[in-house]
Formats: sequence, C-alpha cells, structure tokens
Amino acid sequence: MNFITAKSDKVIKWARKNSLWPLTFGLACCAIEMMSTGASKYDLDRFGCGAFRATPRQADLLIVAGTVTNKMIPRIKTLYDQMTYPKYVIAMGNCTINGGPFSEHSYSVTKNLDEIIPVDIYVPGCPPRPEALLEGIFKLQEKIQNEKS
Amino acid sequence: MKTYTLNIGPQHPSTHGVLRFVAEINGEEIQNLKCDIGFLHRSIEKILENKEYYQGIPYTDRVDYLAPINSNFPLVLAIEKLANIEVPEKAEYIRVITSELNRIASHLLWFGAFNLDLGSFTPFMYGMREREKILSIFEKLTGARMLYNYLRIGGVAKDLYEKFEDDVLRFLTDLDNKLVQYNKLVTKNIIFKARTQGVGKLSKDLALKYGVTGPSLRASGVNYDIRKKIPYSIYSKLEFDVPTYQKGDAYSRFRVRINEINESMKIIRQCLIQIPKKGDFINKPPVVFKVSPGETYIPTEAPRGELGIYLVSDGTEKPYRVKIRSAGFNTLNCLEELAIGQKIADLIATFGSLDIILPEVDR
Amino acid sequence: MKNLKSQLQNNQNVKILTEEKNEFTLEIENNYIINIANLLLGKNYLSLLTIVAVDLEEKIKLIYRLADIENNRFINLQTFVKNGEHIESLSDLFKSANWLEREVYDLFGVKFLNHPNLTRILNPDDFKGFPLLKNAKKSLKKSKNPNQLTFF
Repeated sequence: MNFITAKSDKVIKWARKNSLWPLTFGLACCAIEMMSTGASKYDLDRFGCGAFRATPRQADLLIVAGTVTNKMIPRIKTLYDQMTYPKYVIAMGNCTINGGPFSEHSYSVTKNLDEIIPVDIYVPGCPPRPEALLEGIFKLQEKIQNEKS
Repeated sequence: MKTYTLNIGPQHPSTHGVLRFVAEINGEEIQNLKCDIGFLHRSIEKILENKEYYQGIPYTDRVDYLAPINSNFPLVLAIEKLANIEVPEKAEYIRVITSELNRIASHLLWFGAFNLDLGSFTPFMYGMREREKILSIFEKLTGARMLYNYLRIGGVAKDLYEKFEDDVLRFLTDLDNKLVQYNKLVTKNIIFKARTQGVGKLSKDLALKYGVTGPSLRASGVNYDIRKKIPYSIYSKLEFDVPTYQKGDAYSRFRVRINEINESMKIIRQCLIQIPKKGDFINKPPVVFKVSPGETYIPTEAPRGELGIYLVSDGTEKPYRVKIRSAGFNTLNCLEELAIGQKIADLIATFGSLDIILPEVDR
Repeated sequence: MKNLKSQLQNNQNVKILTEEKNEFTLEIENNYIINIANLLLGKNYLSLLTIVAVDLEEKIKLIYRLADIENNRFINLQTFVKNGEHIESLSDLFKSANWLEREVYDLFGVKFLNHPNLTRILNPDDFKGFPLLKNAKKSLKKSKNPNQLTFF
C-alpha cells in the first residue's frame, strides 16, 4: 500500500492557491493588459488562474483593473459582498492605488480603492506589464500559503 | 402589454467596457432600451484645462487606449495649426506609419473580441497573437507596450531604429498569410454567417440622422472617409481604396473592417518606399510654449469613426477649452433605437459589431 | 453651394464669420435656431455631429456642427446663451441632439426647452453643481453611500 501523509492545512492551502478563479472585472486600459496576460503569449492558465468566471458567486479573486469612479462604487461593493469566502483582491494599476494620472483636478475619480474594499496585493504601473501582473499573482499565492487558518 | 425589466449590468463578460443596459422585454424581444453611461467619466476635459499643452498628450492616449497614436493625432494637429508650426516630412511619414499600424492592431483586437461575444474562443487567441507582434515592434520603437505618448508638438519623440523596415515588412508578409486562414475560419463559417447576416440592420437614413461615422457608416452605403475627403498630414499623396458595402448588417460591418486591414497594409508599404532616408524627426518648439489666441476644429479618422478636437486658446500656456468629439457617443445613442424588436442575443451581436469602447464615450 | 451662400447672405438674422472651400461659420441669435435648423435640413444637412460649449464667464458659447456627409459640406453655427437664459432643443429635427444636449446640461448647466428627458448623463444623478464652468467650486459634493443605486 502506498500513501503519503501531510497536514490537512497545507494540502488545502496548496489546492486553494493553485486554482484561483478570477472575476471578469476590467474597467479601463489595465483590462487590456489583463486580457493579454490571459492570452497565448503570457499564459495565465498554466498557473491555474485561467478560468475567468462571469458571475461573482463562482469566483474567488477580484482583479480591479482600471479607474474607479464615484458612480461605480456601489456596484463594486455589491460585487465584493456577493463573492463567498475565502476571497482575495488585487488592485492593478496606478489608478486604483492613488488616483494615477487622474489624481489632480478631477471631480469624479475615487483616489483610493482600499477605502471601499480590503485589498491584498497592489500591482503598480500604468499599465503594468503582463509579467508584473504574474508577479503579483505569485505574491498572492505565497500569501495564501503562509496564512494562519 | 406587461413587460419584464432586465438589467444587463455594468459588470458583464463582454470586453467593451462598463456599460449598463436596462431593457424592457416581452418574451425575448426588446420593446425599449436605455443605456446608462458615465461609469468611466474621468473628467479628462477638465484636467486638460489645467495642464500645459504638451502635458495633455498622455491624456489623449487614455481616451481610446486601443489606438493611442490615432488619438494623439488631432490634438497635436490642432496645436500646430494654431501655433503655425511646420512638421518635417520624415516625421509626417513616421506618424502615418505608426498610426496605420495602430489601426491594424485595433481591428485585430476587435476581431477577437467580437467573436468572443458570439461564443467562439479561437479567433480571440489568434487576434491577440497577431497583436502581440505589433506591440513588440512598438516596444522597440517607443519603450512601452500600450499608451506610448509618442507624438510630440512638431514631430515625434524618437527616430526609427535601424531594423524597423525589416521588422515591419516581415510582419506584413506574415499577416497576409494568416488572413487567408482567418477568412476560411470565420468569414466563410456557416454559424458565423447565420449569427450575423441580417442582424442589426442600420439603414443609411438612420445612420445619417444620428451622426454615425466610420466603418459603421461605410457598411450602410455612404462612402465617407476623412482621410480622402478632408485629407490631413500626407494622406493626399497615398493611394488606397475605401471599402463600402450596402446592406448595413453586422456581417457587412465585419467585412468592412477586414478589408480595412488590407488597405492599411497597402498604405504602410507605400510609406516605407516613399519615406526620406535622412531628415529631422521633430521641429522642436521652445519649452515655454504659448499659442496665439484662436479656435479650431480638427477631425481625423480613428479606427472607430471620426475623432475630433475643438481647441480654444487664449494666449497663455494652458488651453482654455478642449472638447473631444468621439464617434462612440453618437453610435451608442443610435443603438437605443436600433435595438427595438431584436432578441437579446442579437443585441449582443449588434453591439459588438458597432465597435464601441466606453472610455471614448465617457471621457 | 452658391444657392445656399446667396440665401444666407440675404438673410438678416445670419452673419457669416468665415468661409472656406466647403465649410461655413455662421453666427445667429439664440431664438433663431429652430428656423435656421429647418432651413439647413431642407438643404440636405441631415447630421448633427457635435455640440461644443465654451464658458465665457457671463455667457456660454454654443457651437453646433452640422454636416451634409454625402456631399462633404459642413456648417458651424455659433450662438450665445446668457446665464439663466434658455434655448430651444433640436431633438425633434436631429436625433443625435438627444444625448449631446444632455451632456451640455450635465457639464455646463444650459437648459434646453422641450427636450424629452433633460437629466444628467455622465455624472451620477445626485451630483450637485456643473463641473466644467470656470467658477465651479473645488469641493463638489460626491456621493459615497454604498447602498445607493440609480434607477430610471
């Protein structure tokens, strides 16, 4: 008889981090880089994150890619509440970190995303390269592995 | 008649941006459609009034991020017209070559996204693969993959690198071969034809009443291309055709854009032969740059239609008013009337074939 | 073209500002807008491409760009609206005026009479103030209540 023993904690976290399913939530220019990351040159599917789901009930990763305006805030809150635990958020692009190029003289852009929903990983860039988004997903996988359950 | 209100919310699996439809349906047919826009209103026009002229060029990149060079073009032309700056000939050719390469990239992404809306996944991968080749040429030229900030007042930012012509010609020969395969896969496909022929018929009358321009108007029978009728830059020296179809349905709009890729390839080949080998790439204005008072409107032909900028200047270093006229605004207004009587799946096919992206509509 | 030009020159309510090969710039009083729009509609100027609004402190300048796309002819109609005054809406004659006038109302506060649905289009419905005016206050009220949604 051949069997392997391990802590159930580690096995569950290993399964969780290698099958993150993102929600299709591209708002602006960073959405195109997210689509390029999912396409054939920088393949996102080989890390387990390839299945983009359209409904928040089946997703566990929310990648906010693009500028968040004041009109969009109630919708983001609703989407985040509809996702089930455990859920993670990546803030992609300069616009979600501190307003980006729209931080001055703008009357309709929300400068900080983390005042609305809790953010795990920040990926800077305008727009960030696909390799940068992949690095962000690796950091998230490390964070999931080292979580206290 | 009792209708059911369906909300096709701002988050949806299509790739055109954040847009909300509120449809009143009876069974599967739409009786009334309202579009809710403004989810990506980033107040670009207000920001441009507070920045100096050359600082405004990166903001026009973000108005239409799939063809940024085509969006920089009208602002730069308007400033040069008011300030009487002449652009050297080599810079004009570089501008046209990069702008036509951008047009091909934008149409390739549209080709992928339209098919993804209809449910087939393979053309999306093919479109993105070809687009990556164009992006690697631009990365060697400007340093960035998207949002290049490449055009400047008086010319362009950098000269062409040594092997530019070889790279571009190799890409064009490759694309010629690939387009034959894609035509067999998509254009002659029975399912694609059944899904798009006769769907979303935009009559010539309706298109003119709503001010629709660009490939959507050319698919309805009006032969109008700003590069031929109001030529700017060096387009009057180049020979190319303007594809026009008569039926006005989604299939005609698809064929217009595929033919436009071929025409853009012709333009690039002519430019690479005609470009002067030696010359300046920029005629640099002084750093503290003031423009004489006046106002002007410059229309240009972007991949989606007429993109124009109305610039008002009052003699200081910052513009007084910049208004961006985008093609998507009028086209989306037209969709409210076009969708009445269609089924919901046909609405998605029509919306995809009109090629609207939301940051252009909302600015 | 010559027929239209002579008609415009003989008209007392219209002032020709500039004239290029196939593009006119005309200036009119704002109560004459429906008449001139009907006249131009009869001459095949079927499309209203855009409406540009410029804030000149005491008044707002509106520029309507009309086009006869099939024959490649354009007309820029210029008119002024003083603060607090109204102007007639063109949404019966030109269908694209529906959203274009809503945008001018949303950003500048110009009221158009007889418009079918003059509400905000780009900003949220509870936004206060007209942001693109030169004297708009910096701290415009924003709505951050997460439980508030927009219904028609």
